[in-house]
Amino acid sequence: MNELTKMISDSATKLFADTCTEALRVLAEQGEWQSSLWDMAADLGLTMIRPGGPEEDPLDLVALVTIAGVAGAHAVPLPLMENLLARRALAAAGLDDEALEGPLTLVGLPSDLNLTGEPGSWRLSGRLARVPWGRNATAVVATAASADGPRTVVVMGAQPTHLDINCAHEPRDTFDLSAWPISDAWVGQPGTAASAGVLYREGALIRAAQMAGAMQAVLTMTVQYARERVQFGRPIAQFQAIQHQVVELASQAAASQAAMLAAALAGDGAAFEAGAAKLRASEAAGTVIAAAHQVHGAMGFTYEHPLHFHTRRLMAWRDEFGNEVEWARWIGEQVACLGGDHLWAMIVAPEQYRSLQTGAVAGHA
Amino acid sequence: MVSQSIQFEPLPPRPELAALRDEVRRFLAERQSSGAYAPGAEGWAGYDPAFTRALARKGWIGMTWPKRYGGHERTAMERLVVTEELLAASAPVRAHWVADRQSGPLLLKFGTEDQRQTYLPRIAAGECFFCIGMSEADSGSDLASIRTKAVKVEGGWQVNGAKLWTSNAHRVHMMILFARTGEAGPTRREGVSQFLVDLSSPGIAVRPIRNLAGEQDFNEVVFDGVFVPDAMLVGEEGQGWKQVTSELVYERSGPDRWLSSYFLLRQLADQAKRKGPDAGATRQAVGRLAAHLWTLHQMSGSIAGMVEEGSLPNTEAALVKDLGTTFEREIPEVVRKVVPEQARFGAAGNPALAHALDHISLHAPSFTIRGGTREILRGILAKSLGMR
Repeated sequence: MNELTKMISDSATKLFADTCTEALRVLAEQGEWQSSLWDMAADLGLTMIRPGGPEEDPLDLVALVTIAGVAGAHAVPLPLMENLLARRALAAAGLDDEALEGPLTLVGLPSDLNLTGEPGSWRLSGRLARVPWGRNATAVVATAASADGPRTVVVMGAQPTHLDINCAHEPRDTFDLSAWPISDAWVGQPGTAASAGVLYREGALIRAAQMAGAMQAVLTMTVQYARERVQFGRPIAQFQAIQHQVVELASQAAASQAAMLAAALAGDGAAFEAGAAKLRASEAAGTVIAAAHQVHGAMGFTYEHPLHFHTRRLMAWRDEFGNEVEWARWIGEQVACLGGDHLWAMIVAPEQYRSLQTGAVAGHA
Repeated sequence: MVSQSIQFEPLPPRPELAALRDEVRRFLAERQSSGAYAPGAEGWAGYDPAFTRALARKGWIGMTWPKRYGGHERTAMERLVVTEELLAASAPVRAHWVADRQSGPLLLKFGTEDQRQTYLPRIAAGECFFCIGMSEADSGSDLASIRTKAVKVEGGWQVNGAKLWTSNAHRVHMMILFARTGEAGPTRREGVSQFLVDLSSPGIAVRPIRNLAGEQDFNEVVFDGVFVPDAMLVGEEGQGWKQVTSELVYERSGPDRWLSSYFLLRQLADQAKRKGPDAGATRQAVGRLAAHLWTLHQMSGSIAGMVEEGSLPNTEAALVKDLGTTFEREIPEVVRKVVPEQARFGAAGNPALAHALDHISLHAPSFTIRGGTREILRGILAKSLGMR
């Protein structure tokens, strides 16, 4: 972590520890957009991170997963990461996002979006499904098919045709576009677009980072509860049956964290690593959720106790941007191409096998 | 106190290590093509002193030790690279494994100058092999309860008692013996010491114990009035508990705790190339295991980084051993389900995989016991989390 990333991480931690209260999370779940929290995050520079030069590019993946970890640990009810990922995609496509007020978001499920027409009269058609915070976003960044290949597009001002939420009550909305007019400024040049696969994979890495943060928070809460809750005359932390469940939780959280950080460090093209990290986190979430709730007993099953703000996010996030089975299939197809003779070489140097890692995840384009 | 100290700092990619990996791979390929060894399901359990000496000539034993003791002053990361490559290729490294992994580092840390000069160069040359004298019949996980006693006599110590489950005692030269030398004290961790014991000493009887696969691998080692000279005391009398704890970090943190079943995973990757009714399930299974393997590789690298910086990551080592051995045990369970009997033995069967599956299934129960049971590891972790 470089100095700048650490500074961003520290100030984000302080902001969310102070402001992201249970009361605020409840209001967000009831559908109230947390504009003042968004504004405070914006004041800290967390919504519009500019590249800081060749040596300290704060839009790099390590910076993004660091912020995502903090956001996940505090169950921040904002599209903080979707906005940054969307801006990262725009920067990659050479589209200037500075004039775009946030929050931006990006498409959740790969879409069948199609761009037709020509400069001056571009039209977009297709469905954008499970768009995170779609109703609150000023624009959705997506990749559209066009006659010249995929292009990055910015869909502004569209209204969702269907509102939905995930099990953490985060908005996941659908937009149906039919010959939607789009100005030239928001159509990327062909050949510059991050493919839908890249957006999806970066989404997977960021969700893995949010999950790692959430798991750390769940671990802290669970250890604390086990040390405070007294049964049979002693804190339940002293029972070996409880200890071993919490240790399993801690191990799964540590493995998720290690995998996610390694994937971020591996850099932009690291498809295998991002998929492996999401797989690891999604699989870990099952153990973490189960152990945390078992240790918390009936209290953890109440709305009053804040554990659920984290465990419900884990329940939702483990399926977003590919669950552990989808990523296992995707990695498995590559292993099947390599066979046993090359498996180990791929594990220690995935960067040598990038050309294999271009396939779609689970039928997503 | 709630500890937030379980952290695996990722290591930035180090491309300079790739050349070393290639060098080890070339060496292993040569050994295989010359017929010196063939990768098999026994993995790193293969015991081959000739192979060990060849490794020593490459400078891959005692890699991190000072040159004045026959070492090569390489980094912990370089040693990890070499050990990973050896284990992934199922190289027969068992003869020197204990000496290189923990007995040598123990002597380096606590041994006398004489002990270092006598033993470390011989270990690094692949000529002196060690075993671990910790467990006893009534002292498995509860190591502090050992009853083997060393009593002070003129010029040395007299040892009586018996060690159990001592792997390779029937074919190695030396043992690091953990014995009671004084009062246990309220914590039971006082009054224990470590000794270098020459297994050819009079009064030592090594009795083989066949394991469930029918092999002789571990033993009972009986000490009947065995004389151990003063010069063979390792470290300080009575400080054995602290020393043994640091030795266990070496025993627990390496890739030998997550690569024991690798040969079978490799067979599964070959099986995944085949088309057929089980192909989808096979690919999904091997993809998942590959992601887990990559994660463990990252965590092991992170531990090597901590060792390189001079820390002794006891908690992290316990965590990786627990995750790693669980992974090793899971591989045969996964393989038997996605490669059913028909796919193993039918017309287009895969006998290589079938044989590896049987071998590893038979040995898997030991993975989560040897070197500290899963339950002991979880106790260490619970303590670090502030739960006991």
